[in-house]
Amino acid sequence: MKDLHGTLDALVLRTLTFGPRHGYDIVRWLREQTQDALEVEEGSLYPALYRMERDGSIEAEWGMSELGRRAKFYTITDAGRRRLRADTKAFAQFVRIVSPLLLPT
Amino acid sequence: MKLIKRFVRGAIKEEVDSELAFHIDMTVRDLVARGMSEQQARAEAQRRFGDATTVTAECRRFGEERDRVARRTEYLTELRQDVAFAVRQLVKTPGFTIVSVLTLALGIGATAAMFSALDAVVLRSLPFPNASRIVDIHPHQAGRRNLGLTPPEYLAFRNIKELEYVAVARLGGGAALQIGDLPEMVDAAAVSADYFAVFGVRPEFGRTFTRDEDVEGGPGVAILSHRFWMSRFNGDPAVLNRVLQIDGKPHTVIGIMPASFDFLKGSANIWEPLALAPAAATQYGAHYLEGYARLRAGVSQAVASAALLSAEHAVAAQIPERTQSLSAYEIQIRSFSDDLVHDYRALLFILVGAVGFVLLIACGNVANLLLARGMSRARELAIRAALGAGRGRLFRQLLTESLVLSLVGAAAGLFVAFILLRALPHISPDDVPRLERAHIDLRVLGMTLLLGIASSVIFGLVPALRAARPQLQQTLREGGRGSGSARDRLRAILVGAQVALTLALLVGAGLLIRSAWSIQHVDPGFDPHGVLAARIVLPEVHYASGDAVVRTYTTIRDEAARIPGVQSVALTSVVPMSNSTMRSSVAPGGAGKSDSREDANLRLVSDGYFSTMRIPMIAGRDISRDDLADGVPVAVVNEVIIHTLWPGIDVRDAIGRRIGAVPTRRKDLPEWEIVGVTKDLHEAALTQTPDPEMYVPYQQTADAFWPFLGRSLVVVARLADEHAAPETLVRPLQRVIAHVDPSLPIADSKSVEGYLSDSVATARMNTILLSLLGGIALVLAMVGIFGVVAYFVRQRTYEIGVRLALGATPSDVWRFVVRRGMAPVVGGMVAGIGLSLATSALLRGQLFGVTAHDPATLGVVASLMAAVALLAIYVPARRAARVPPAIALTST
Repeated sequence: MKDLHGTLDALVLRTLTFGPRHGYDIVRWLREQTQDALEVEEGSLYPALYRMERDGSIEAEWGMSELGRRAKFYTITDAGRRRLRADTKAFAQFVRIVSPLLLPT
Repeated sequence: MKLIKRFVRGAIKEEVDSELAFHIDMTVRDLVARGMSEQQARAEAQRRFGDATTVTAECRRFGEERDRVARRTEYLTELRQDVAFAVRQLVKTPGFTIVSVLTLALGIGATAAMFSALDAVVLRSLPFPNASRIVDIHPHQAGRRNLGLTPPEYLAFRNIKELEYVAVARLGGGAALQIGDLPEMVDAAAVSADYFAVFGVRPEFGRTFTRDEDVEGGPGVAILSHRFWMSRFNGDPAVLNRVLQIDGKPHTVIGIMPASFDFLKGSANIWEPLALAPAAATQYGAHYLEGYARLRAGVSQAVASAALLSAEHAVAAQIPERTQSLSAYEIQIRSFSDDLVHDYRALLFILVGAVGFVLLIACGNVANLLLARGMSRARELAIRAALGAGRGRLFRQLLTESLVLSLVGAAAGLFVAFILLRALPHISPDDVPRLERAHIDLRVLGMTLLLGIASSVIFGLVPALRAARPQLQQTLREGGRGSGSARDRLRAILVGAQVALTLALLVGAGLLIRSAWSIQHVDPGFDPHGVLAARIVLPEVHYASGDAVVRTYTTIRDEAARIPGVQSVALTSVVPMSNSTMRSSVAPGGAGKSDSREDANLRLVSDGYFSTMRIPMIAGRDISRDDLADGVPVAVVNEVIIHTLWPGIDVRDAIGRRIGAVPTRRKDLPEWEIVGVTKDLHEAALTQTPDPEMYVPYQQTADAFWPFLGRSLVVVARLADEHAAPETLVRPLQRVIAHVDPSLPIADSKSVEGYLSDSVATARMNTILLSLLGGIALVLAMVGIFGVVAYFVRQRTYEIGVRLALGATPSDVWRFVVRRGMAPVVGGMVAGIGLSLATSALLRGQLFGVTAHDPATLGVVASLMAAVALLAIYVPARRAARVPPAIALTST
């Protein structure tokens, strides 16, 4: 499954609430959490990371990866947490409104 | 972390490339772990990644944007730090801060206030559409200048096609307005119907007069001024269509003019139609109207003048028994707005110039203070530079400091300006147009900010530049004592310039003070103390005949004489210094006819006028109660008239001679017999040479003449007790008048001393303002000199200690400091004297009894300046003389 349009930012922010991660780690973590169901596209992920960094939702810092290579670690900022809360709320509302239409019982 | 960020930011390209490479490598590693070959894994990883070029480009773009934001944030953070640091620094040195802010506040505040005044009075155009097309019309006749317009002239000018509108107004006097029980006197003007069209102003409510209403016997209608409507009717629009009793006749209020029409403090409050009688069309000698016109678009003043002149000649050609050639009739037009601000323009520019001096002096002070501060902080700055602070960063921080300083100064200056503007109308003459409208608007606010920022850049820049390239090693070696003769020279030049500007200002103030003193000591020729003047106007409805007018005034006068405490009472048509005149051209009459003629002020007076005003008689007798309408017409004249009309004769020989009116010297007009001669007196202004004066008995006034006077005379009453306030007579006088006719109000009552003081109001304002500015300048210069010398002593404490240790006496040190301190002052004084010779020439028009280059004033001012400078040097010099010699051993 590809990420639903517009939810990538929220997914990345959510991932980062569990601690700083580098880009590859974010992809891997999402894949593991969804039992390989969610495959984030690298082509979308990195621009999104740079964009969110520009907007101040996340901060980046170079550090050592677990394998001793230099990697760029992202951390969620307070502004990012606020944005995650807002996005989550909007998503929940979206689901609530749309599911009776798409998933009639 | 910050350092890493800084490093990363420099190379977005590398950052993106290495991050993406890391991702690919990690993917490859995972795939290999799952059993792919290295080569397959790399191909798969790249396939998964997709279009690497686009992704890279996108990441770079966001990255660059991120960096821009970060740079801006950093800049703002640094600015905040700089401002916070600047504030801390300023708070740490309260003496420096307070002196600087006060200095700037005075300089900027005074400038802003003067600019507001100049803006309101001169620069801002009148609030009338195409105000430049509004002109006043002044006929001249055979050397008699600025006559009023006559009705025939007005009627003829209405047909000139170059003029869009022509209107006339009969000003003066007032109207008795009866609202409720008490009659009150209101400034009123009778105007022709097009008066408001000339100014292009529409009423705020209602309408203006129609031409049909501007005819004799037309309906009683009136228009109110905004000011009067607000003050008297609380701005209630219901006053429209209300009927008011004006001069005993009902008038319907048909309109209310907008506030913009109240352009003078004393302009009319009620307008009524002029309503010329048909008979007025031949009143060729009645110069009692003020003429205004609006030129048609595209018509120049020269063209309009020419058209008016030919119309004027056509009118003059019809005058029966005209005694002068047509070429004696001239017309002058002047722009209305120029006329309104007349000499205040020059005056305000002088004041703005003076205020500019003060601002420069203030700026010089702050520059000196900042320079001294920059040098005292040389050590701090050197250490910071040594610790790696960038030169630009230091520079910016110092500039921020002066910016903060001058913004605080500008804010305080705004407050000063506000106070000055509130005070200004109280010391200015009443007829400065629109001064009370001067206020601090956006433009003044902008100018104040600009001044603040400009001063900070100028005064902050030099010290900041100097401080930003400190000679690190030298400064550290000197232990932060600082030195450098170039800096001392700059500071000396600043002090010298301040002294020069202050001196020039003080010379100006001194000359004005001397003028004011001279004016105070001019003998007006009468005694204004303890005399009340109260104008009475008799309305036409009840006082149509001249006989009734004379009888009423006689009764009022006789009853007023019985008021307890009153020494004497008399009547006159014009009070000295009251700024209104009635002029008549006179010539020797009877057998001694000659060509000599003179424009004389004509006054109607009662007997006892000269003794009440204490005007000395030189020869002959006073006007008498028995000089009645059926007696021989008599006149009392002053010396000037006699010397002009009969050059060379003794004033006593003038008694019995006859004097006649020109040019309408017709058989039915009287010739007067001179029965008395008074000393000359200053009727118009203390600064003017006495005018020719002629006094005739009010009882002999022709019936036809009373309407021109508005049936108005002034009661002058002298108190027996010279020290009592004449105003105490107002209430008793009101009772007397009410007893004679309850509907009569007193128009304006004022002590004659008040008139005298008003006549010097302009001179007084100049003197007060320039003295104030001179005083501010002196204080600022004193602070400046003190600051420089005190700094000098502080810097040289070690050197002074060494000198003392080597045998110099304290008085040697005194001399050393005073010599160093006074050198720039003396230089500045020499330059200031030169400057004042140039600047005081501009004041020439405002001076009286003193020349622009008065050596005494110059001497006094120079001594004052030197004394103040020595005072400013005294404190630091004393400190220097008390330096313990041991400091030479202990100081580093």
